[in-house]
Amino acid sequence: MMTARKQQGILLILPALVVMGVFTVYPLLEGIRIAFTNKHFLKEGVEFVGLQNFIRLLSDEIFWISLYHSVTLTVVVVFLQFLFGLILAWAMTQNLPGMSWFKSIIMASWVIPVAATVILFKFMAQPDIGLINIVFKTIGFEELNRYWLGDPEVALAFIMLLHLWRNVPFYGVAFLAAMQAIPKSYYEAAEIDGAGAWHRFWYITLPGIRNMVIVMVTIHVLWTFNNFDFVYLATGGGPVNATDVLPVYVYRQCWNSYTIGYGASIGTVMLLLLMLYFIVFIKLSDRDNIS
Amino acid sequence: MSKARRKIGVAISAYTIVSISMAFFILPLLWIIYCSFRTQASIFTGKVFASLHEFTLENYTTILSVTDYPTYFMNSFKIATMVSLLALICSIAGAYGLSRFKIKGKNAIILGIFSTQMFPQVLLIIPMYLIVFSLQMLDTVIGVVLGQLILVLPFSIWMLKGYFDNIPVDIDDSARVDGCNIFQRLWHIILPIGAPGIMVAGFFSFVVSWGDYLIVSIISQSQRTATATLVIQRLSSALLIRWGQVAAAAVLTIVPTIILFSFVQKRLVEGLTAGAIKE
Amino acid sequence: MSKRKWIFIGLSVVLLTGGPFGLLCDVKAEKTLSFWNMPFVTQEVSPEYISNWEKDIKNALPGYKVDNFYGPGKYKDQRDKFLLQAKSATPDVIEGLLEDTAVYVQKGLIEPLDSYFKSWPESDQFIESTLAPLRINGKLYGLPYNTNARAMVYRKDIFEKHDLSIPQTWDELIRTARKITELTAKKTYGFFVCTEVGDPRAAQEFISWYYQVSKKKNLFDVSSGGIAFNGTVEEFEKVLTLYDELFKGGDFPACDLNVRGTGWPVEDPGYVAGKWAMAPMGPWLWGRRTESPAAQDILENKTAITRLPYSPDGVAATYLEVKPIMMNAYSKDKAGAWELIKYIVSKEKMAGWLVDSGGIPSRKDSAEMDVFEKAGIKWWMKGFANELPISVTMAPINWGPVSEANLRAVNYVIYDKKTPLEAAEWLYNRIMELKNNNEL
Repeated sequence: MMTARKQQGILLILPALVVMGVFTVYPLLEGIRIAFTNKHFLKEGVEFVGLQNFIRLLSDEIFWISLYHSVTLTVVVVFLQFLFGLILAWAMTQNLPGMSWFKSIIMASWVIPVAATVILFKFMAQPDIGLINIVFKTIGFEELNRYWLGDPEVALAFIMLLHLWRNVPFYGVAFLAAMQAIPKSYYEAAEIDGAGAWHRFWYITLPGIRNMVIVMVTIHVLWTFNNFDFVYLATGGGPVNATDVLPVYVYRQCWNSYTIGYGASIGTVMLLLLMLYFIVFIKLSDRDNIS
Repeated sequence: MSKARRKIGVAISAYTIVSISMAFFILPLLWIIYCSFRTQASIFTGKVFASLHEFTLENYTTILSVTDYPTYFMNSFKIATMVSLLALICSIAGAYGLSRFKIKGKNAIILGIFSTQMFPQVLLIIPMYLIVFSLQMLDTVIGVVLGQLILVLPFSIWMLKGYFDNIPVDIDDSARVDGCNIFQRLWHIILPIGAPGIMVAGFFSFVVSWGDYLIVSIISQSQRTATATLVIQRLSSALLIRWGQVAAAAVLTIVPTIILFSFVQKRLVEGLTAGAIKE
Repeated sequence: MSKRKWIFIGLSVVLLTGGPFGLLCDVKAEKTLSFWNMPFVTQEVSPEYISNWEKDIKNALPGYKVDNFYGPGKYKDQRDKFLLQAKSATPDVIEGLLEDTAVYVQKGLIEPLDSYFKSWPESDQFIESTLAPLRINGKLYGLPYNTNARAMVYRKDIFEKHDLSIPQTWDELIRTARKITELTAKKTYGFFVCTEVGDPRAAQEFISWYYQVSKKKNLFDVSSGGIAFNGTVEEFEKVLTLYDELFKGGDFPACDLNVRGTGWPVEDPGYVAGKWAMAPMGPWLWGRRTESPAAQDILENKTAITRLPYSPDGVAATYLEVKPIMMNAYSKDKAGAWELIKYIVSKEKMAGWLVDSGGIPSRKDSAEMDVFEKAGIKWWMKGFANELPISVTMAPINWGPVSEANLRAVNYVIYDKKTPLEAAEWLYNRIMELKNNNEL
């Protein structure tokens, strides 16, 4: 027998659950189902083909290249974001003149539409007229002049740069907020006990912001791995697959080659990988918590 | 090391980090604004400093008139406000329910909502496109709005729940005892007190919708629903060499988000991170 | 509190007007037509022409509003989107490449125009050789508005200055191009060729070289019995070797290695900016005069047109382009769409479009208009018209995946991932795969 309160509670979350159920859960299940078919945008007639798409994946060179890039990109980007975010947050904890003004504008890079960010960096990466090349020329490194996104060796690194530009400030302010929530008394006690600055940082600050770190890292692993916009808008996966990542490959399979079944199967693999990550991660943090 | 010397050392390090950050994060924005006012020829010289006569408004006039940018701008605006509105309604209700009420399986629901972040967007849009196409909702505002809603809901709910959790339950309870029903409690208590968090959630939804490319590129086909974000992408790949115009278009797309940002920036951090900081 | 209240009120007003009002506007029906084309989006035709076009259409088609979105702006994206969404009745009219027409006809997405065309008094103004490529299976599937044959533009000032002779074969081309790169210390590279996967120009340049090697035989032959694939590994190897050589050459290659993987958006502006001395080209380059004083000078004073160099054991041949205006078979207002098509290919509008962006009109009366003479463009158009006799169109198949494969093979070679022979074998196998999967 449900109390009136319980009923109200359920009613409140119902709209959100319905929207998400219809527009997230249903499409996901449907997407997974399509992965087992040979559905094609331009052809009529769909057949159930079992694991055929997945078997095709195994021998698909470009799939493995994209997977490699996706994983590399995610790992490197999230790690660097964490590192630089930490450094930025530390700087912002200092009570210095101008710091509050700095704090208020630093997140500007996160609010800008990704498409605009890509244009910004594409422009800066242009040979001869882009800001990056102009700077290199001025400081004497003229031989570095090139279209950064067109060079297979550095294009992926450049995409990582884009991710960093957008997200490091977010990490910075998030870590800052978490740092500021650590009671000052901890620091005072440590200082009295004779702990040095580094010691204090390592044993008080880091553990204190642990929760925030977990949240930021988790979210950004998911967001970076699934991120489509940066790579697609900047290079479309090129040059010659140098920046191909899984989401872009899925898009090409569905919207350029029209083979939705195959595209959906790659998407399913992406989901499986992330679920694996999620489970492993939860288990690890649970174990930490218990100990 | 004396305390004073240590303090100076810390200050120098902090300011160094700040200067590098300013150069890295803010300079590109200033650069593109600067270039949007330069003539084509001026940008092509590759010089950093342009003389006064190389500045012009023609990039903006061309973008605003020939490519009919205002229409797309309004579309972006329409769609983003609708998304924010719907997202706020759903997520305030949802977050309030999750925060205040004992619902069976609450934790599972929360985890479930959070885990939808795992779902690859590119996979979801395939069936979504098929549904929208068969319902003949292609190229309609409502089609785009529904598609973008799923991008913002999970994070909004999670964010707001964390925020509401930090509002003491006693206030609610005393109001309930005083005879307020849910809507009154929401309107008079949660909305005013939770206003900063709600503003941030609305801002987040608006910005995500404004910047969305994938969904709108698939569903939109004409000037009825094409958004500014879609158009600047199209411009940058089509007008490739006319960087002055591309820069102008990009600046026009950035400006609203920056304006909104200035309204919420004081509360942005608080709102975004409320769920992660435990008191 | 007051400030917050005002913000709140302001936001509510905006939301209440923006949201529901927006929906209402969607509901209110107005007779609209949509027209997708590339030049309006990329400004290949001047913004002035576009605004005049939009103004005049209100008189030409009263009671109609023409959507000014004009589509994705790149031929590949436009084609992909049309294939996917034509059934949703947008756009009503679409411009494109001949390669697009073939695949649209295959999928039954465009409307035959024979009955409309026959009852139009102006139909006899159209030059028959431009209509011929658009007759597929005996039906006319589009009206041509722009035609050209590919030639090569070159900087006659550079050739005169260094006393160079105009290359006529591939070997001469490579040698001369490398020489120019060296003589100008890489300020101006000798040649440029498009190599971007998905770029329509790159696909057309590739096929031009192919026609020379195959002695004007088409890569595919379409008949009632199906599609025959004529390509051989040797032919592909010859073409890919050309690309290979163009990006080699030690210190002074014929083409700039930094521009590998780029397409027409780099080729055209680069030529008028003086970055390369020769390039395969069509008449549209004329539209770039307005880009800068340097561009105007190069195009008007320093450029000459010559035949595209051909393979030593092949024949002179090149790509014939005919750009059609087509009608969506699923359009909800075909009569209105036909009116729009007539407007687009009307005598003045066609001439205006082509004198602006550079092209040969497919109407006799447009070609005779004095706008071309006045704009000083007659010599330019003649240079390209000269190549019409040796030009060949592409067979009516689905070129999307084939062109992609062609360019991937090119990329393997120019990025040193495969030798020309390996890439040729890969290409041959890939096209056979497409053929066997019925993707042509």
